[in-house]
Amino acid sequence: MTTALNPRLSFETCVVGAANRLAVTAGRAVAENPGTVYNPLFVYSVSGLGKTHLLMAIGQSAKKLFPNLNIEYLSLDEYVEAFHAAVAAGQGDAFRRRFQNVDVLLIDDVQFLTNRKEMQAELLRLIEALQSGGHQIVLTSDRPPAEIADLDERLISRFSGGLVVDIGVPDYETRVAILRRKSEERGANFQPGVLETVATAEFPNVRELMGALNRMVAYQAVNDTPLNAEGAKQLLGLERAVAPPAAARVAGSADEFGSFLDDVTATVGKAVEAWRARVAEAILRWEGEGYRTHRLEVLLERDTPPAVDAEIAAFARDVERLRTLENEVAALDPQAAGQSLFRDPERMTEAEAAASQVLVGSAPPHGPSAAFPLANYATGAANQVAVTAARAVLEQPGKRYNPLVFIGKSGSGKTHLLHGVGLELAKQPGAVVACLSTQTFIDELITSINGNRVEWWRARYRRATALLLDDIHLVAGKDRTQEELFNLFNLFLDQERQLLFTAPVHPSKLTGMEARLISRLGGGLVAEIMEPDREIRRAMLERLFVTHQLNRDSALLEYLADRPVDSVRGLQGLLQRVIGAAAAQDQSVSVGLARAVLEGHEREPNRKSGALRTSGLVVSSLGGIRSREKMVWDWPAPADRLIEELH
Amino acid sequence: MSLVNFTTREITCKIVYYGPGRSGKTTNLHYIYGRVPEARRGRMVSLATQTDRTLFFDFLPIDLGQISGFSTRFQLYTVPGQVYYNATRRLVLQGADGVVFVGDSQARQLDENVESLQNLQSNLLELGIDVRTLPLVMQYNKQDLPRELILEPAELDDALNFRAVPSLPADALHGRGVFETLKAISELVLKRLSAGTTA
Amino acid sequence: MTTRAVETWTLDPLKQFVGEAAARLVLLMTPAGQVLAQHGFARALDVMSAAALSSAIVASTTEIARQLGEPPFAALTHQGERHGIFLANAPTHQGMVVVLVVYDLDVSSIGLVQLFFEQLRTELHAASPKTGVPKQVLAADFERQLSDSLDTLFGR
Repeated sequence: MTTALNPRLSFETCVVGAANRLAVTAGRAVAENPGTVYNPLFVYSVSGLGKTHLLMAIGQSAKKLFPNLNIEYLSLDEYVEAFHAAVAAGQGDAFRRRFQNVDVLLIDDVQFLTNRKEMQAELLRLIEALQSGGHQIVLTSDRPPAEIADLDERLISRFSGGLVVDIGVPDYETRVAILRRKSEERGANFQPGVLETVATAEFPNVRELMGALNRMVAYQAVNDTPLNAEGAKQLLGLERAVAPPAAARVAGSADEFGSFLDDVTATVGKAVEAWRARVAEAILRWEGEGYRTHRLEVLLERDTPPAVDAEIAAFARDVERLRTLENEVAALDPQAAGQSLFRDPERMTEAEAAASQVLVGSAPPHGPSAAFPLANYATGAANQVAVTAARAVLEQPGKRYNPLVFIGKSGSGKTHLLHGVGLELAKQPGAVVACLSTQTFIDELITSINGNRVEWWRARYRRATALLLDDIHLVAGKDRTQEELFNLFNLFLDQERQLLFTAPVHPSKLTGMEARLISRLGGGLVAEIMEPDREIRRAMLERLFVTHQLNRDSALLEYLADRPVDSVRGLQGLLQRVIGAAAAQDQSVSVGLARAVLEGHEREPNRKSGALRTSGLVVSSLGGIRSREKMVWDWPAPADRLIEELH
Repeated sequence: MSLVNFTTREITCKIVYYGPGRSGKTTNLHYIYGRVPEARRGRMVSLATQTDRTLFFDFLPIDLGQISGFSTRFQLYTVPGQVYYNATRRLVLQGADGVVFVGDSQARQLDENVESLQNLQSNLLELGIDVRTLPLVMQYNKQDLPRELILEPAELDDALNFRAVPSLPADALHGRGVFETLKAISELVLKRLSAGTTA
Repeated sequence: MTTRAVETWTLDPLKQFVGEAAARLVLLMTPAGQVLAQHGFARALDVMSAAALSSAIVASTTEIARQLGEPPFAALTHQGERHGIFLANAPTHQGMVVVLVVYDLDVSSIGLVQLFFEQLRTELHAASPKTGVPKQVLAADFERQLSDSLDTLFGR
């Protein structure tokens, strides 16, 4: 069993100073992006400087950020024990599998691999498996990989292949900070100056510092008078370590000023070069997130510090911008988003250009045609069901009938209704309605496959809030299209986005279509649009009269409405013939004419019959009528004409 | 005051010794003057009354030479302590990078200490210097006097050191604690260099 | 406009000077800034500031002169936009007296002030008591004496 993560050892309780800043920053980066940045992360330091704390903190942080991750912390010795136990119990493979499925593996004190050849081989196998699976490994040791005695070369190279950082002994300030933090945590109050005095002693590691603190806390708890600096020194036996001022003065003035000078030198050095540490930190962080930090690296080569804060802030801003661009592009064209130029702040202009290109090229899919407004759709008994369903869908798109399929004979008005619904859906704010014929859909897909831009095509449709396809039966036999359609179907259904289709017959009767598609098509509502009944025909005709600017001749209207037609298209054709005839005969449209045209009767009663007085009409076999008078049989030569006029 | 000039590679720090009258501010400077090698210090200027009370200021420039490629100079000032001279005190306080408060450890001077400290706060406020972040060190001077006459550093801390800044006991006349104090204030002042540098 | 003195012997010369030079503010003090007499100040606070600053100026200029090996400045003048400032020394038997004069530019002039200052100098010297040891100022008393002077000047 692995040790539970100690909640007291987290990044929050970690006192960061110059000695451990790099290690902590790297640890943070790893916790925030396990498996992607430094892998493995190898932290080494002398005992007692906080390696285990850091390891635990990484585990805590990662667990908090990604609760579903499988995180294991254990010391190498524990691992070895567990391994041997498992093998003895015949569970070797299960053990291996368990560890190979860990997402973040934290192993403490790997220096104990010395002289354990078998364990080294086992660990090598484990690390290889984890790394190839993109899982994070963090290791600690008391010395760098190359100094671990008798370590397999391959392991050395693996350990060193990620990032190797060390933790140094904390400096005075960090020691003070640690003492302050810890005494706060323990609820112990010390006189001003006491902690500072204790911190001046050169403790080799934090553990001993803690030991000193414990002694002080204990002492103060037991005694009446609080500890002062002198007392602390005596208690901890620091007398010798801290040179009392009096002694120095006795030695001579040069010492005093000299030591002052030394101190100031040290402080100035640190302060003046502090900016380098900041830049290095920033580089580490951004590099860990996958960005090219060259721009910051050149800063380090300078002698004088640049406006460090400004530079770092500007870099951070650029990274943010790149990130935004990357996300924008990713929404439209995931392949384009992966380009390296989105990770290089020095190529900002290129990135902007690329992003705008993608944005421009990603036109929304075909929308519904404005030629078929829903208001113009004549409703009647024949299409009542369909229209009612359509209205229901418009009230609550995606939630009522999904998908909604209109079936009916050709020309029955399916397309009009489809586009009409599409137009209404498009009116909603933020709606992206894809409304097109299935053939166009298929052609688009083929083009994008050929242009290697399938992702882009997919993204385009994924963005739509409603998908309306006319003549869905055309996908028959087109496996790839059906596959894509199937995926889109599921997406839309999941997200409650409306789907509308038209087909000549009920989906179950369609051939060449995958069963899973057919079942989905029938999973909503299938509404049949019948042949237009008289009512519909009449309404349509009224509309058509208006469109063609005909006088509203009710007799004609009724007559035409009576005529049997099997489709709206047929009705239109009917009217077209009558109008055409009227134009040819140079007569106004009227019932009589219509009758004549449509029923092939003799001419109108009010037309003179009999005498073969030609009115100049030439009947052409093509069905058109020509007027002799209106036809020019001989064209005079232009030249003649001209000359005539000139004369 | 610009502490660090990266173009000319100079670091200059102005440190002001503040405190009630006769607490030992000038004495501090005299001692430092005596201990710094001649090459490293300028002439000490003391504008004082006939009775050796600082009238305007004492001024001691110290040159620490090249440190990390920067020529480093300290300018130490004292101010007149009497309440009367507040106007001039404020002048000297202008542009201070750090302040050493020299307190008189004598029990009967406690009120003077408090008043002077309050006066420091109000002057800083008027000068637009952030009282909370200005590097400050407390020196409890005259710790060499008979125990019955003086207060312990701990007691003085209680009474005066509410910002919990580093505090040191001292006997400026004999030089004890003088350089420690200077060291302490120098560190605080120089550390501010790392808190944001501008080109 | 009151004219008041701590050291009474300064009062008459001061009054005369004020009348003739048409001065707005006059302050007589020791080089340490301790006030001896004043004319025209409304508040003790202002006197304190003026005295402290004036004595600081004198101390600074004296030091510069000394470093150059020169005798101290005899007088300093400044012409502002509406006021003129005049700062000079007047030696007396009681020690050096520093005199600060502020005058309105449309009422008086530097020439006038300088002219009558010569007279003031002579009269102060004459009026100052030859006998009597100049007050020894004890450490503990210094502050108190400063405040006491102010009280006297403002009739508190």
